[in-house]
Amino acid sequence: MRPAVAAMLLVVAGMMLSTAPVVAASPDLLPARDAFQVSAKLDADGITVRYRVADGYYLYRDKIRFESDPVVRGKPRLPKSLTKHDEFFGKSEIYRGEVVIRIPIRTHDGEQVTLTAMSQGCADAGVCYPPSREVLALTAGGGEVFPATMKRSPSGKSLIDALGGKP
Amino acid sequence: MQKPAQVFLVVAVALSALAAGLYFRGSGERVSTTVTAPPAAVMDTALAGLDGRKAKLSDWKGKVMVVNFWATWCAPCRKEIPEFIRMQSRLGPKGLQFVGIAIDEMDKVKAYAQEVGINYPLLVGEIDAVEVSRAFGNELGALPFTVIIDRQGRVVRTELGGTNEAKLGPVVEPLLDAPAN
Repeated sequence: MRPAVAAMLLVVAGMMLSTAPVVAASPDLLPARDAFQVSAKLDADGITVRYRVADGYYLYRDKIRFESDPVVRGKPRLPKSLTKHDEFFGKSEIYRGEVVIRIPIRTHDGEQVTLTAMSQGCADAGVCYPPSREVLALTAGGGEVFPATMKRSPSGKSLIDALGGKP
Repeated sequence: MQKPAQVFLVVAVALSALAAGLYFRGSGERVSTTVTAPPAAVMDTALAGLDGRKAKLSDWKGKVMVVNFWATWCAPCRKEIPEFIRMQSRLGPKGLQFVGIAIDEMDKVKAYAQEVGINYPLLVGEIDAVEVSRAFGNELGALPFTVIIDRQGRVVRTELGGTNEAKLGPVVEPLLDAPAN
């Protein structure tokens, strides 16, 4: 009875599909590092930091902070943000898509700066990620740099110090 | 029943099963219902309580526990907390124990707990608390993340993302009726 065999296969397929999410707890969410990819480059007139925020994710503007070694005096110039109306936080300024931030400083060829980029964001799916710190070792004229290694624990200042400010 | 009708019935049931499978898959829930024993080290990780004293999850052994990882900076976390407060009031006398683990600063947690009237114990941590949530299967370290532990200390359900009384109640209430041993 071929139709019955086909039907049984459909039953099995249905059961497998219904149990699929139980096997993997979060198959559809990206790790923070992929959801909020950061890179930076150092040129003669300053640092350009680029965040590539994946579709369906956003970064909070007031959670973007930088530290550098040696300390650079240039104030980061953040681009125009979007206003999100949040049930709990009221109006929040956020970024989606590509975010290009300029930190104007004067450098000479071959100069090295270690930049720590701090950020915090959420997914529209209804989860938020803990604040992240990514360390970028920049050399003037050396091109675009991505974070070197996976770092779960932040070094130096505490994770919460990185957050600062109000929620 | 005649053969064509029989085949029709089987096919209809099969299609319903397939549709149900697709429906539940498409609902986007990040739930695990695999029953596991958490590593003892996780239950014994000491985190700071609001009163300054350290506490660990194993302190509440024998109760049905709902462990909620959250933060004041996490909007979806704030949304579910009033439901947890209600459930703790309603089912606490039957042996339900909510425990909140905040990935946050102590001062902010204290202020928020007072503001909304959280009626269950809160522990506060940083990377150590994120690691506890990872040990329960929250690989992304994202929030909110909620774990249900039965009276025997087994993890019966984890959920990443917001949850509510309607989802937790049917899981927790039968566990409350089960004996501790």
